[in-house]
Order: sequence, then structure tokens, then C-alpha cells
Amino acid sequence: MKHKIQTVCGFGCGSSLMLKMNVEAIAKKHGIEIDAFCGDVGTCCSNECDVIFISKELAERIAERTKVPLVVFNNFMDKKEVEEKSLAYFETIK
Amino acid sequence: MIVLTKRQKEILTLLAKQSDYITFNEIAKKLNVSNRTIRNDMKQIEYFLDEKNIELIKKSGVGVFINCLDNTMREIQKDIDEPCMRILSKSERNDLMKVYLCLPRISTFQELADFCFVSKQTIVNDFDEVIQELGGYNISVEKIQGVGLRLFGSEIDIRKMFMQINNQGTYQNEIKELLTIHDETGMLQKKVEDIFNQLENEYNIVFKNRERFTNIILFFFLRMKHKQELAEDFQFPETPTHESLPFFVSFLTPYISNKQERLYMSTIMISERMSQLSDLLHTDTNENDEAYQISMYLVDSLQALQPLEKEAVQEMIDGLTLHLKTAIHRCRNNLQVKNDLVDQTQMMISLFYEFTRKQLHKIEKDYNLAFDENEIAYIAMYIASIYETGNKEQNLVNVLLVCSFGLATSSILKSRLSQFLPEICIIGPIGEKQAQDYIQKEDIDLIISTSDFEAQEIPVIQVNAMLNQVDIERIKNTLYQFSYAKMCSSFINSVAPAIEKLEKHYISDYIERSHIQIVDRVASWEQAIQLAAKPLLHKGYIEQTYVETMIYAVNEYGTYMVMTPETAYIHAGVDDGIYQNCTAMLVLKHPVMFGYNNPKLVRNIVILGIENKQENDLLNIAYILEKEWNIKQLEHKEITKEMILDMHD
Repeated sequence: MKHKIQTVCGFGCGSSLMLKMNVEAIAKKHGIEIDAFCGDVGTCCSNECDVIFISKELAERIAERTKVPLVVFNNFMDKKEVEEKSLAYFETIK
Repeated sequence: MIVLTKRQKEILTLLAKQSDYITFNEIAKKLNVSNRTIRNDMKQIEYFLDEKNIELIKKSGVGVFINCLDNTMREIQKDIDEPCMRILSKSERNDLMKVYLCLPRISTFQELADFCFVSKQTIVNDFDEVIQELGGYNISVEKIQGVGLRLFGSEIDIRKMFMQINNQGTYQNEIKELLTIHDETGMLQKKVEDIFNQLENEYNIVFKNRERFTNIILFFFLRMKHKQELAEDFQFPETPTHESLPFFVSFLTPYISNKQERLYMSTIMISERMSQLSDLLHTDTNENDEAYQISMYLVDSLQALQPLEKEAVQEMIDGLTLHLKTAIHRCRNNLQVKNDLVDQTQMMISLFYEFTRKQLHKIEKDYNLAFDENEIAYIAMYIASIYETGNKEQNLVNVLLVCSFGLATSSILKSRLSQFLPEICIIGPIGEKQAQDYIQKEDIDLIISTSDFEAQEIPVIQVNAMLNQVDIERIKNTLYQFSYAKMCSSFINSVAPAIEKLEKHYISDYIERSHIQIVDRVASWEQAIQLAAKPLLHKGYIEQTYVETMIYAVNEYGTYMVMTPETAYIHAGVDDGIYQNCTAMLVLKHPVMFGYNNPKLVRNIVILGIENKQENDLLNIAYILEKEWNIKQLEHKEITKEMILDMHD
């Protein structure tokens, strides 16, 4: 079963898509199979997934409601940050 | 007058070439028809010859023979070469009408009808369309009541149109015939002939499409003879520059007195494909030369993918440089060539075509060139052959020789194989049993065997131990397919990852010029968003609610959308009043504090109007704007829309 990652932004169609693409690229580079999809902050807690990748401000809004772990990012486009945090997360699920 | 069919003409051509009797059976065999058919055709041919007072001698059991003098024979040949009457399609007729009207005279509908083999009424019916097509060349038709039709347009446009239709190659013979008729004295034809002969004999310059090109030169002379000339003060759209230009201009001086016409014809000559141009061009590596630079650039990008043995392909690289010279010249002077192989090139060597297209696209701007698909296809052919030759070792086909005979026979076979097919790498000969083991372990493309050896997944060609001609042909055919497949796969392997990287994205691919705004400063970040979205709102791509939702998002969700330095990528949801994917950009010369929750300094606002979630192309904007050189430019005090549109990753 592939690992399901939900990337989240305000509307689930722009910034979250960028984060999704960046995470997918890193997973591919390291040979890890994932299944990533985008979600918006309003409905992300009811979407089934194994983990939520989200920005710092939005994380504060959903922290209390979510049942899955959160990986929090300052900047979705910061390659170094996204790579480090994604890999650290991939380590935990091995 | 007797009209011969195509086959009858073929028979007559055959007879004309014979110096001795030939039998009906022999003719039938050569033309792949029955003896009976030839017999019938011969009757018609005999009538035809009869009309011309030429005797066809028939001797029972010996055959037939045309008895006449050589020059009579040439006359016959001329008749044979006359094109058969063609049924023309409407578009063909329209083209021919346009050509006819180009003649420096007043034409009538009746003449056009005769020329196109249709009724005058048909011509009149079609004529509106012709007028429209002429309009495409900035040419109009003047109808002179009771006299006829005359073209009205600039000399250069009329000539361009003529050249374009002539160069399609479809109407070459019709046009030749037309021009010949109007050169009543034959003087102009002689002049053209002289020009070509002198170029050929004295300078060794041979035009590749002499027949077609003859039409053009003859046409120019016809126009000039009737005082339809380029004005002495005619301005060339671009001053012609080409190294061999002075040569042609001085060469043409005795033939053409009008200076501008001389220059014009020279440029046309240079753009034709000709051999031996190299002697005139002294293609020594002149590094300032554009063609040389582009050629080196293409070879270098090829080299970056796959090491090439440059010495082995030097000659081809020179060929490419030379070709580029004329191609650039054509491009600059708006002269189109038709490459009959475009479709085939795109299909057969599609990879090389794509590679060439993309590489050229990247530098076209710098050189102010725009190659069309015909030109790209030609260049791609050079690239493919350079790659193929420079890369031979990689593509060697491994052939395993399996032989159940003694060593002596198989060594003969091996040496014959390597003699006839030097491009293969032969392993063996080995026995059948060993062979089975060998192919499990090693990489073999093809097995050549003298017995009925069978292998899974690897093709086997069974040959005679003495290797006859048929065997060689069979092997060659198979090899050809192999080496091409191998070459392609090695090219794909080296290119595929690179091509993705090679592909540049420009801001102009994603944001319309009119959607970009540059302003000095704004009062607040909210105002910045409103201003940035204005062009989209104005065009009805988004509604006011979409703008308000974007502002709400920054307020509520924070500033995570500031993803690359000083740039915010803002959007709302797909249901918030958006009708199509759209983008806009606002650049502030003085950055503004953006958002309340975790505020950040923002200089650039990019509106990503995403209506379709699947569409993630627009996100490339962020990958472009994150580049350091672009960030620097955006900070520039004198930033312009052009600078922004031209930014790339």
C-alpha cells in the first residue's frame, strides 16, 4: 500500500499543488513510492490520508482537529527545507 | 494529330534509344505488360510516326526499328516529353491562373480558360477566389473593360508569388511551356542557358534544381523585357549581405544592366541549392560567421549528449555550416524552400527533428532568425547523419556466428561477412551447443547460422556457408533496421533526461503582456492584490468575489503564498468566481509589507487564476521567478515588461 500524503493550502489548487510536485520529485529521486494529493484547509481533516504536509500558519488552524501527523513547512518552494523534512518523514515510515 | 498514351510514349522512348531491332516480346518484358498490349500500342505509334513521315521498319522474327536521322529523333523525343494533358483541380487551376496573370501582358479570361483546360465560364466563376488569393500577396487585379486583366501590385510581390508557386514543383512543366511561348524569339531562353552554362563551365557551379530555377530566371527576364523592373531606388527589405554576393553581382553584369535587378537576382541565386558553392565561400573556420557559430552550437549540444569523434564527422560539420549559410540567407530574405522530405523526416528521424527544432528555437532570437519546418527538416538530416557517423562504435551490431561445419568453412564465412559488412561485430564461429549458452550470458543482436539453429527472442538468419548475394542482401536489410533502432535507443537514452532540462520556459509562455503591470508603489497589500487582478477582472476571467477571497485568504491563512523571495503567488478556490485559467503579475518598485499574520516584504504579486485543478503548468512561473538572475532583475529600478516576459528558467 502506497503512502498517502495530503498537501494542503487554503484552496487545494495552487500552492498545495506546488508542494505536491516538489514532494513527488524528491520521492522519485530517492526511489520512494508515494501517493500525493492536494487538499484545502477547510476539508483536509476529513480526507483520508496517512500524513498532512502543510504550511506553518495553516497547521495552527487544524492541529487540534487532525488525526494524522502533520509535517509543517515555512516555504513550499524552499527545496532544501522540503527535501530535508520530507526525507525525515520518509525515514519514520520505513 | 495522334495523341499517345503514357505507355505508348514509354514504348516510343524505348524505341528511340535502340540502335538495333527489338522484338515485341522484349518490349513487353521491359514494360511489364503482355505482348498483345504492345501489339495494339504499336499500331497507334505507327500512325503517330507516319504523320511525321518517319518509317517504322518491321521485320518478322527480328523486331522493329525506327529508321531516321538523329535530329529527327530528337524532335520525336521533344514531342514525347510534352506533358500529357492534365486534369487540374480547382486549387491547381487557381495557382496556374495566378502564374498566367504574372506574365507582363494583358490577359483575357479566354486565355486563362485555354491554359487551364476548362471553359471560360468556369474561370469566371472561380475568379473571385483567385482575386482573394492574390490579395494575400498584396496584389490586385485591374479589369480593363473590353481588353482584359492586368495585375496591379509591387514588382517584388509579383515575383515572390511567382517563385512560390513555381517552387512548389507541381507546375514546373506547365510554367516552362508558358514562359517558352511568350519568349517568342527564344532570345531570353538562350540568355538563361548562357548564364547557367557559364556558371557551370567556368565556375563549376551547378544548381540542384536547374529546371525549376530556369523558370524563375526566365520569368525575371520576361518581366524586365517588358519594362516591369525593380525601380533604381528600390529598397531591399534588408540589405543583402552574403560573402558570395559580390561574385554573383559582377558575374551578372554583362547580362543585366539594371543594378537593382542584378542585386536581386544574385540574392535569389545564392538562396538556391547549388554545388561547389564552397569554393566561392572559402568556408575556413571564420568564427564571426553566424552559420559557423550556429553549426558549432548544434554540434556542441549534440556532443554534450554523446561524445562524438569530431574528426570522423568534420566533413559533415562543414556541410552543415555550408547549408546553414544558405538557410540563413533564405530565412532573412523570406525565401521559402519546400522540402519534400519534411513529413518523412518528422516521422523517420523524429527524435533528431525534435532535438534540432528545440535547439534552434533557443538561439533563433539571438540571431534574429526563424526557421520553418522545411529548413528544420534539412538541418535535422545533417544532425542525424553527424550523430550516426560520429557514434558508430556505440551502435555496432553484435552478430553471433553459429556453425555446425568444420572450422575451415566457417572461417571463410566469417571473413566474407566482415568483408561485405564491415559495420558489424562478429563473434564466433561457435558450435550450436556453445551458442545456446553464449546467448544467455552475452548481449547479441543477431545470429547468423549455417544450420537451422533456433534461439528465443533473437532473430536468426540462416545462410549458405559460401554466403551468396541473396544472403548478404537479407543480412543487410535486417542490419539496417537494427542499427537504426539501436541508434535511436542510444539517442533517447542520452537525450531524454537532457531534453526535459533543455526545454526553457519563459514568462511570456504563461503571462500575457497586457496582464503585467509595473507601478512605483501601493498604499497597502490589499490594494496591490486588487490592482494586480484588475486586468483579469476587466476581461471577465474572474469575478470580484475571487479578488475578495484572495485577500481573505492572506488575512486568514497567513503568508505561506510568498514562496519565492519577495514574490507572492495568490489564488482563490475553483468555485470562488473564476471562469478560466488566467494569470497576472504586478511588480512594485517599492515593496510592500504583505499580510498581517506573519507579514513578509513583497515586491511581486502573481495572480494564479486556477480554474482547472489538473492544470499545473502555471506553476512553472514560480520555478522561473525563483532563479537568482530573475530575482535580481525584478529589483532593477528600470524594469520593463519586456524584461519580465523574457525571463526564463
